[in-house]
Amino acid sequence: MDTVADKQKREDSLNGVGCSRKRKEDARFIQGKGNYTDDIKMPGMLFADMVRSPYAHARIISINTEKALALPGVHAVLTAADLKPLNLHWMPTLAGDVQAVLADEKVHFQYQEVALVVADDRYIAADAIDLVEVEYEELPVLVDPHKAMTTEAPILREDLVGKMEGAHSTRKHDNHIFNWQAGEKDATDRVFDAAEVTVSQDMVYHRVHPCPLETCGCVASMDKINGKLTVYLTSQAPHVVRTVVSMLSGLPESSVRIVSPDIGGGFGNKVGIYPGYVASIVASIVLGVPVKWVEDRMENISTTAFARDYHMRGELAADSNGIIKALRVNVLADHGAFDSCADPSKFPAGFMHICTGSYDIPVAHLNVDGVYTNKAPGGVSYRCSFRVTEAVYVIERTIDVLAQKLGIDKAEIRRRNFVKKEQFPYTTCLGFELDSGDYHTALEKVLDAVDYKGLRREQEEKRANGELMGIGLVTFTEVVGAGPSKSCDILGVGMFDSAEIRVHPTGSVMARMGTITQGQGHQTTYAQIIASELGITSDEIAIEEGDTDTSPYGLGTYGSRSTPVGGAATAVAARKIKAKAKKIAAHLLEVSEDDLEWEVDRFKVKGVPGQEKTMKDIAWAAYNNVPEGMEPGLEAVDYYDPPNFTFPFGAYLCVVDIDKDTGVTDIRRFYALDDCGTRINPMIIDGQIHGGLTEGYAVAMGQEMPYDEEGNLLGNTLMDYFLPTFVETPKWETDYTVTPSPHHPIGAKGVAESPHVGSIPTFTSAMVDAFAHLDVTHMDMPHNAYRVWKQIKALGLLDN
Amino acid sequence: MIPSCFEYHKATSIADAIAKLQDNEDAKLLAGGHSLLPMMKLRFSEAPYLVDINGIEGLKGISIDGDTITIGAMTTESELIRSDTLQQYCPLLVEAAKLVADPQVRNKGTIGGDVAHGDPGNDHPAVMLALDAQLVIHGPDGERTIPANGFFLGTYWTALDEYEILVAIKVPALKSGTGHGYHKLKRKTGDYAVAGSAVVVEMNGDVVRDIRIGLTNVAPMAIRAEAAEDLIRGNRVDDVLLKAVEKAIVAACDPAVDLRGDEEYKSHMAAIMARRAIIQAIENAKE
Amino acid sequence: MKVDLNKEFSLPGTGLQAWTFLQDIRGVASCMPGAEITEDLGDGNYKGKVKAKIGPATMSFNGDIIIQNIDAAKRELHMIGKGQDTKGSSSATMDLRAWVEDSDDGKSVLQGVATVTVNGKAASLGGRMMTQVADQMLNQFGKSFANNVASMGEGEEAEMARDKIAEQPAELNGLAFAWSVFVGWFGSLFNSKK
Repeated sequence: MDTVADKQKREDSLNGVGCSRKRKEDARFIQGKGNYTDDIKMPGMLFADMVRSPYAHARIISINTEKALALPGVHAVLTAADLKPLNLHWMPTLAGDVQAVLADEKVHFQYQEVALVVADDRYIAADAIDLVEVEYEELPVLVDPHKAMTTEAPILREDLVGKMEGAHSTRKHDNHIFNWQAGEKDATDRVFDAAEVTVSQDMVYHRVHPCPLETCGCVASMDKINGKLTVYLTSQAPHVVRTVVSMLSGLPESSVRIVSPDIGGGFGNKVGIYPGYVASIVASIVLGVPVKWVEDRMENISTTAFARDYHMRGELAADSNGIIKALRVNVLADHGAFDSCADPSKFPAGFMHICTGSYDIPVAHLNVDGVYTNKAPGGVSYRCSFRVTEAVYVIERTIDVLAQKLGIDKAEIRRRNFVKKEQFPYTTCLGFELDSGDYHTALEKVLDAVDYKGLRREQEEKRANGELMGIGLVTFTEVVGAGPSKSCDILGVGMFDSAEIRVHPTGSVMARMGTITQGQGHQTTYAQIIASELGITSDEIAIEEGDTDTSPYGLGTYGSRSTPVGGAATAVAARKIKAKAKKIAAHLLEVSEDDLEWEVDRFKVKGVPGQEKTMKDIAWAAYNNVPEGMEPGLEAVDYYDPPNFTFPFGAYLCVVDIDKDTGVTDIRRFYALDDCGTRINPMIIDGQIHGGLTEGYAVAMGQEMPYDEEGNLLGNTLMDYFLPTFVETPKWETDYTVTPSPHHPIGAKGVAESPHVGSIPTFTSAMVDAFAHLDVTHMDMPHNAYRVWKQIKALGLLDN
Repeated sequence: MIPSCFEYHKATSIADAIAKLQDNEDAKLLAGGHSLLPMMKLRFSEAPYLVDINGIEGLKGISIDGDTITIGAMTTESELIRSDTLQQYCPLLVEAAKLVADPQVRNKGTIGGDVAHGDPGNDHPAVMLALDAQLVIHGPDGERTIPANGFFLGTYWTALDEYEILVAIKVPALKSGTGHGYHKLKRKTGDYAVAGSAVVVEMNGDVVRDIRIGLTNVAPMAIRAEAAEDLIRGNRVDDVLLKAVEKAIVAACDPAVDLRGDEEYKSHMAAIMARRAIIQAIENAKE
Repeated sequence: MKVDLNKEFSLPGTGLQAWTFLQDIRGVASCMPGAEITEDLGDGNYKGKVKAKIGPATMSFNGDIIIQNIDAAKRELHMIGKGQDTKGSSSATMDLRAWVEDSDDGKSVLQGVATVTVNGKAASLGGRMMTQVADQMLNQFGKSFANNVASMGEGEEAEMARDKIAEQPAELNGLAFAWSVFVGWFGSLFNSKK
């Protein structure tokens, strides 16, 4: 007889949603048996390497490839001149701009690609690079975005001179890219003019880089006999790459295969199409053999998709109780030499308009101006959910400034302004419909867990003693899961995603999705979703992604979209299978479908114990005993166009102690509470949170990409670019609440970017709080010991 | 990140190594390789000829003879850390070695390489100055032993003549009443020092009879903070004196400006590291 | 990456001797060991090259030297040197104003103000030690310049100076200068300032 205990056992054996099962992909990763792009070896494969510009801004006078070509083992040296006849020397970017594949007559940023050398092996290619002679004429350099639109600024994009209609708006200067606005300017200005209290804070979200462990690379192989181009590459969006490659090369998509093998971290760094890929594809087509190109660490940091570089002003208008009446945000966005930002095409500033945060703000206005400078191109990357990092930073910093001005506790001012639970779904004044949330509960849970009042008392004592202790608090809402195709598209392709599931006769499952994992654990989490839907253990569910020949079309994985969109497609496809399975079960049990109920892994006839069919029974029957008129087989495909984004949220608190003598900060405590709706695998969520918090710590406390006045990028190796080891990394405490998304098939929202988005302002909040009693309202990042010490000295805190 | 072509030769003895240096223009010694190889991979160094001195007899080993400990130049940082002799009789070296780079580098990096390379960021030179070590050198004209004080002349510039090889380092064994201190400020594990200080004191009760203060990475080479030492020698150390000592150390520094900090920050950090090392040294001299 | 340097070298000769030597561009170039003029293009334009070895690192630059201005009244030379390393991965520009002043004891002083701009790989990776290396190179340049001025005179010291010039190594190499010997000799002749 089937007892409650038996039922529980069956449930547990599914290893489905909610279970912290070990990841299925880890066995190969921890034994060094992953299959990454650089592991790919093909017969006759050649190796490519890139000649790069040492200058940030210069005219190319001549390129002499003679000596390089004369080196034994060198097969080709490609320059823009070789790509011109194919019209491939420039390529379109995801943001509606164009980017040089190989520098055409001038270079616009240091380390820009100038020529591709192809040789027998990587050693000869490295030697050949040194033999390519390029003559440059240096030009004046622009690195300060604030100077980009002045009359004295050097013109960077000569290819755009006179073209004042940009992809997103009219351009008001040759170095201007776009202007983008959201909200109501006049209404907002009126509120500010009449407000009891206003605050204004300038802040810089500095340029950083995701620096994934694996750098970018590809193996391009043009098979001339079959007329098929295969490219293995580090891509977070293989189908989009296929479509673009087809458009650029003229080959039909049916003759192009893109494969993303195992990827060692993406973080948005691997969304764009880089010159190295295009040049290698051309080289393979020309030479008729496979060509591999893999960049090194310095190339990755110096030239691929950087993050942030947003120069912001946040302003709040409020009453004397701290109730916010209006928000005004102004941004100067530095995109480098080309706007290759990976945003949905209608949003050149991404989802910056989520900057109303977790608060009930009646009116707001956002203005963003993008400009060109002589730096690496890009802007959106590094776990940012399309500028949500910047949006959360500006609102959380500005509300702290308001709290400080009014003398209101930073937790209390948030309580007073939160969107209340009853108000969901809540449409913000800048156009987002927040699906669900319970901000008050999250905040109180964190404050209780850390004994907030006790910490504030301790801080008072320490201040009296001349010690520097800070408490940082952030309550963020972020927007992920791009997105509804009516507003979200990449180069015109709507941002749906897909899943194709097939149940085999003996009851195990193969499923493929249009997303692509780079370490997020899809092989495990998608299997868990299917397990819970279909009653088949996730141990027997194989998940594949990344091969455009076999997986259904998807927009890829970035912006935390896999769970909200891909996970939804997976659940819906599974439910299509379940619907068919119910019909088969009814047929096998000779009852009507209405007489059946589903329990864990089987359909049971209501009220008739023992009359049941498991999904395994049904799978077998699907291949030999289906009802009249039904086709055999048990599979389904779903293309899911989400009705809305999802809005994970959280409350983070950080305690810091600063050593006055050295400026070194000890992160004494970091408490992170996240709400991502339904939690598919709590262990994986914890792993994501740990990773995101560590990245956030790195960004806030040490990472930077300093350019000198001549546009030289200083600190582009791991000696200087701060990647914390376990020795530096603080201990993370994680917690959660669960507020499911009402529109998602399993209520899940996605979580991976929240810890990065939320932690960075938390660290800044804590650092500023340590000096708040001295009227410091803001400190720009990174908060490394050197900068903090300078602040300490400037405040006169060192006995002299 | 790939070096240019080079010839690799394994030396069979010190004499063989010297001969190879003399016979081949621009030849370089390969010891642990972790200072040289990064320069070669960045093609800042295109040494056409490498002479590997790993495995040569007589360049390894730590032995103690009365008051003097002799350390083979090819002793790795990890070997220094594990050495019972050093832990007991020269704990300053062990402490300093623990803070060099990271575990992988410490398994290959040698004390001889660290001393002879000449990078102002290398950690051992300041320790050598604080210990008043002696350096044993072999060259075409034979063997000579010179004090570490005066060996470090500038950036990549030591008193080693062309074709000379550092073969051993002699340091004094810890005597009673001697204390040591070591503090190194760095941005993260594995980084060069923002500033570092090695201090050795000889106490006479509460009075500092003698003191040597070595400073790392705050000048073109490791230096002794002699003016600061003069303030302390023969006196009792208190907060007032330490303030004056800090000022003297700031004045003695001439650091390079880089992403670790500007001159002001680095000089002040040298003062803080020295202060902490001095206090630590006086504390453990009492034990 | 810009480095500003101010240097002062006391010279064992008269102001006239020093100014005469300062206008000998080939001679001045030879004071930087490892540097030489390869071509005189006329009109104050020259082609030159420098090979510098700093410990294990080597940098070879090819470039142009342009004499911007020679002011005989002020005894001042203004020159710009621009070079690229032979692999094209770094460039350096030096804008130098050098002038000779008479000192009270009948000898002279060479003053120099230089702005060195380094771009490319050397700036990105070598920035850490650029000032110290540039400083060291200029110190050695200064000693060599002084030596040349001394050799223009008469007597035993000038003779020794000429010998020293002959012995000068072909490349800038910290090891090759018998530094302590040189300092000792130089210091024994003059009350040397830094």
